[in-house]
Amino acid sequence: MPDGEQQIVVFQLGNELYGVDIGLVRGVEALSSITRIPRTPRYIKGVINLRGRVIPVVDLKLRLGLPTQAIADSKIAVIEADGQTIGVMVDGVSEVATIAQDDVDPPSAVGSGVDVDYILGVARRGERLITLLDLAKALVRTDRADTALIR
Amino acid sequence: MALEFDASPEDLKVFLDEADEQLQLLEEDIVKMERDGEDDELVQEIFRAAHTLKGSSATLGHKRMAELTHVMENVLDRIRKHRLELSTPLVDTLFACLDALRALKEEIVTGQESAVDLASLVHRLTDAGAGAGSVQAPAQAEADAGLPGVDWQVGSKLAEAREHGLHTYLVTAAVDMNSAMPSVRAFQILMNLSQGAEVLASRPTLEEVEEEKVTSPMVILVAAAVTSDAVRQLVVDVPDVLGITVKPYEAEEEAQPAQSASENGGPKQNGDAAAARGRGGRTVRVDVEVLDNLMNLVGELVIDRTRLTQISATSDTDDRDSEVSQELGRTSGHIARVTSELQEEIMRARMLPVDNLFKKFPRMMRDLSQKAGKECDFIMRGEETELDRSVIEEISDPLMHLLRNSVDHGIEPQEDRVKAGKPARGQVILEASHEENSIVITVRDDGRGIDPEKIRAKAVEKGFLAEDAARRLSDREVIELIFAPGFSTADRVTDISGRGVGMDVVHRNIEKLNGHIEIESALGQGTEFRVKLPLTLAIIRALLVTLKGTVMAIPLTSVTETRRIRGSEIQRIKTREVIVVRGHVVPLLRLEEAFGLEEERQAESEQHSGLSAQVVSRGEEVTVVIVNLGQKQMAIAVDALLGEMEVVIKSLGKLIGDVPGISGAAILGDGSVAIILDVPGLVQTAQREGRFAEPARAG
Repeated sequence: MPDGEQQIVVFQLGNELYGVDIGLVRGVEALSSITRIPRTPRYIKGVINLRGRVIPVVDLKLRLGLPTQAIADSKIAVIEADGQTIGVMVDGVSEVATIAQDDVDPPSAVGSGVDVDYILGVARRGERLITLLDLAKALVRTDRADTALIR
Repeated sequence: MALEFDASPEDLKVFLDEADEQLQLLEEDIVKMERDGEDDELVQEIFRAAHTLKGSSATLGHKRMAELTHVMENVLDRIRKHRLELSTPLVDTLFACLDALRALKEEIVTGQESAVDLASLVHRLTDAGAGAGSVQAPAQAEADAGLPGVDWQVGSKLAEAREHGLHTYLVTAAVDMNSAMPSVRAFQILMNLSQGAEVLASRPTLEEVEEEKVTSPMVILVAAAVTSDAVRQLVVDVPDVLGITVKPYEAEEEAQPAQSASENGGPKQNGDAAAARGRGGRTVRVDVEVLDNLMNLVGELVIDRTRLTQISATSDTDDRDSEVSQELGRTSGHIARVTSELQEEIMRARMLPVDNLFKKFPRMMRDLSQKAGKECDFIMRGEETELDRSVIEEISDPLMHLLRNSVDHGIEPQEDRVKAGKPARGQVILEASHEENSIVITVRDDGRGIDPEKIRAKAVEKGFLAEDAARRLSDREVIELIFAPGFSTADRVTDISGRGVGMDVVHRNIEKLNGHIEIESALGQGTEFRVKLPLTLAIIRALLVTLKGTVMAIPLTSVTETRRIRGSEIQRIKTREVIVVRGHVVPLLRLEEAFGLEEERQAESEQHSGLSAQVVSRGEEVTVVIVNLGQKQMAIAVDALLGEMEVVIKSLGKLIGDVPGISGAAILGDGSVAIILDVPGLVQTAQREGRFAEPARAG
């Protein structure tokens, strides 16, 4: 891959497109039964059995503070971040895309409603905009109002 | 300052492992030497360990480590030769050296120079050597200095040679290191000597020479029937040799330890290296991570085995007689057996003798009693008892605490003991043994015992109990109060224990491991702590239950019984629910409340408020699981029982972290995930949140 290009996995949250660096993504799984873990923040949906391993699953829309209307085609993207394997619930994975650095604008929260801290940039791809997420930060960092979410 | 060492990562790892072993050996033996006196064989072993360390650290280029071990070796050598008497300050100094060596060894890991004050240690060692206990003759010191680094592990051979009437000679040969092939010359010297004499030892050794590690002058100890001149003639023709001396070797004191070594049977060859080579054929060092992975994989197999058995059992009855179905039954049966065996074998591979844990205690106990000014014998038994690695790691701190406790609070000062008509020296016994599928470790002292009255008073004074409540408790129950958080009976805070956190942490940690701790104490006679632990932490037997659609696993070690009760049997004490089991009041825990499962459902707007705990009709049946917590009991209400199962404990991971009342997750036969309950944690949380006051006492 030439310099200034990046491969990302593009997925959907609600009606928006988001992307993460392909290096973080270990695979995409169908949504299986999730075991809820009591006394954890709401955005932690629970744990699943990933081929003999127990991994946590995060509802990315809840984590990022996006509206959470249910969408039938939910998938679990398996992410490797901070030495942990974490399942991330998304509304379908559309493609793997190669984007040029030139097509990436600096972070802007406009339109997405996602905390600018978790955004690396916004990529233009034809008609559509893809918000590039800093998933490692979004998943692993626990700050802000998290405690308020713990029931 | 960053450090660099001249070795490959593999070599470094080998060095670190060996250094750990040698340091541990030194520590154990020095404790033994102080206790039992300077047994010759023991001193020999200590000397050998120090020497091995010196050699390997020098090879690695760790100068500070080599320097310290060198000075230590000198002191040890003089103890060995009875020119220096062992004293408490000297032992303290030796221990300080061991601590320093550990720090120096860590430098290899960190790459940073540590803050070890080498000069002061060397000074202390030299002082100890020159002190009152020293009976060293200066001339001998010189003679020793003449043979630096020569480890004459040849005692038995020397003795043997003398028995056969052979003479022993020390040959010194200066090889011209500037010549073309010094290693070849050294080789020739050794070969020529062996033609007319027996080479007992040499520096450099034959192996070293073969690896071209030659130093000059060479020092060789030989046994021969001929005169010194004849020995000299053997090598006089070797080229590039600058000078040869041959002296009769008279070292009576060397022969002594050797003799006792040979009496003890077994040809003790050149120390540990030889022993390691001997073992090498049958054992391999395996990284702990490999074992952990194997264990995980077997865990998955165990799950699949269960699943396979289920499939085979539920396959269509019409199909039962078909060949495929029978074949499936046979195959799954075989896989089940093989998996069980595999699981057992891997569990065995993970087993370590508790000795690995115990061996660090003698030194600790020695230091503790020294510090507390108490005379105390420390006895260990059952060190060969095997236990899973993971348990050994987790149990170390609690045991350490119990041992400290026995020295600090158990054993009385000497004058008190004598007054009470007890032996002046106290005794602490640490013992491990197997009991069915558990291991039991006891810490027993013959000290003052625990005074229930004192604890009663303390509990009332600290507001743990009302005075009449304290009086109603039996002595045994009162003594168990020392496990309550924040309860410490130390009259004063000492350096050793009594820091407020103490027995409650011990108690908590042991329960976390699905273990139990019990106390037996007789006033004036002593105290015994009995710790019962599962053999492994990786796999447990659990009772599976369902609650609001979630499957939960309750470790069988905490389950006493299960019961079906009618709603009308649930009574209330103030606002809390209790049931009566065989005349005992047992608090009832609603897990859905403790875990907030109700709110959650409501939040997700699912309708089931009719099932809410508080409105269970009086006729409806409720299933409860009675769990025990040491002497106490509690009932957990569940929706249904699913049966017993062996489950592999998996961590919930860093993201989720510690959840009160949950110790992990387990994958079930159908691939779904169950929550494993941490019963003691559950009770603690419930108590803290006022869900019920205090679990009832069992009879």
